[in-house]
Amino acid sequence: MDRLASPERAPRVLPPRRLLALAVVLGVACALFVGTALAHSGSLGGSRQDLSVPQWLVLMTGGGAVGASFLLASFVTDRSFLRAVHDSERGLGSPVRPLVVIGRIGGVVGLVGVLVTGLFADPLGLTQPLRNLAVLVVWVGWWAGFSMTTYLVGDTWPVLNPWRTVASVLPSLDRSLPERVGSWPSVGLLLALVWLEVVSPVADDPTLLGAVVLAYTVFTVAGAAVFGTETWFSRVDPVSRVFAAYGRVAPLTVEDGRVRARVPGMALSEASWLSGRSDVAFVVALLWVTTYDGFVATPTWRGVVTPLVEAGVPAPLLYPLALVVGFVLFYGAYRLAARSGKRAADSLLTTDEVARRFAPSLLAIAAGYHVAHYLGYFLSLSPALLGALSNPFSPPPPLELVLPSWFGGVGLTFVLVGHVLAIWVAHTAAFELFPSRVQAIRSQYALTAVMVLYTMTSLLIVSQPAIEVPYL
Amino acid sequence: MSGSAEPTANDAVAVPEAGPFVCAHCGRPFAREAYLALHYGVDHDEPLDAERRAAFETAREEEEAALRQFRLKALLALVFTYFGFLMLWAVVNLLL
Ligand SMILES: [Zn+2]
Repeated sequence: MDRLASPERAPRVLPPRRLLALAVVLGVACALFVGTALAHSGSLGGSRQDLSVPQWLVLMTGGGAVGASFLLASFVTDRSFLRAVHDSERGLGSPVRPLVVIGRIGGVVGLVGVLVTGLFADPLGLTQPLRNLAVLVVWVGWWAGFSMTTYLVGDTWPVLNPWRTVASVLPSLDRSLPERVGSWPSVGLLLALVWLEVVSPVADDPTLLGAVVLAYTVFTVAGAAVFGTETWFSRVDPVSRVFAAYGRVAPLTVEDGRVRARVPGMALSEASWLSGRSDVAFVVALLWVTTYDGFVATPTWRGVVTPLVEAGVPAPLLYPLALVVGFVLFYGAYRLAARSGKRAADSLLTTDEVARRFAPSLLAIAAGYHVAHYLGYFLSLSPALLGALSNPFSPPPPLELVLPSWFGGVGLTFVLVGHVLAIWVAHTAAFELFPSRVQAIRSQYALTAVMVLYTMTSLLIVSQPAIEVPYL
Repeated sequence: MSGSAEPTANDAVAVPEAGPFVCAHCGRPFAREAYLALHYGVDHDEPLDAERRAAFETAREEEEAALRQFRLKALLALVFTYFGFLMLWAVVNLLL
């Protein structure tokens, strides 16, 4: 931003009144488009059995709304306005020291609780997953609930992370990780982790979950001891990197020990925290694994695998294969969009550079999709989580919150909101990257096309009933 | 991911290909003269001399003209998309 933050000496700057009018028009138009799409699809989510609207129409309308939001964004061409929206922030002072200490202790206590109720589920008589603290804390409290706080509020994982707390008191060998390795290890580990989550019964089997958490603890603490906590948690540990990336979407960030507040998502127009191809690949991998997680539980996927399994392809092979193929496809599509954008803008920047600059916008999509995928799950199981937390060793019979039928529409809303935010952020990033505003708009054609396709893919997943992951 | 990037390297543009029009301040190359002229005016704080100022003004006017044309097309596309979808929904609702 340093270089670009300087006030533009453009001869024409819109007067504030016109700016305000522009913002209002844009907001209303956006609401109109998204609103029409949702007013109709909202009825769809709850009553999946009797679709009143054909699915193809919902998908097309969602895609159309995202495409339209690109056209609307292209009317905002005032650089100083864009900069003002994205740079406005407020300092909120430094996090209180006792709070940090409490957070660290809480993280470690949570890890110990998960290990005890997981590994000793049999002797403690806690084998029922919905009454087991380890299962509920890991999947409902942490993977669904805590993840949501990292992009809706701020990334508190560096404080809560129990492995970082443990590793920071242990001696470190401080071996250096070669520069050319980049952050590729975290890309591989993220894919591996999601594969494990999908194919193994860790979601239902407390003892297995305890063993996996124990293995992860040993691996992470050993890794941090060899390479140092900074290197390990910023370049290798996939969990820390996921939360750090989600934290870029959030309104609250910590810079130099001070908490800062911004408009949610606006920090995504900056890409300084991404360096090189491996960081871009990580962002794409994060988007892909969130999608994959939902995709393998849809009738569409069952339709794809059934003939393959019947033809004799072993199912355990299909899952990692689909994971890797999907990632390569996503990454390839994104790079292709970046290259095509660079050509359309007649720019001499490298494709890598263009890909890096627009990568953060994908996180808004990932976050929107994550809410769509996990909010209902989190809410319906939170009474069970509270029950287990209130009495870990003899929890009350689990209660499940029954969500109203319109709730399915909430998921579709978040998918669209994430995409519209991504379009806006990429628009701003383009204006910072290219000196000509015509170049900036042209650079977005291919990226917008990819986002429209992606909207339709995620709506396809979110609008289907979730089924048991087949053939496992 | 904070550890892997230097905040100062922020959005300084990395390794561009060589090009015919090169910025005298930061060395960033451009494919068109107009882009370089705009770059001097938009991305740098150094005051523009008379020649660069004139080039900037010209490039700016051309840019404005192209933008006006684009806006017209975008508006048309928006209207078509919006009413297209309205009609599509109406037809589908009638048939169902
Ligand atoms: Zn320059």
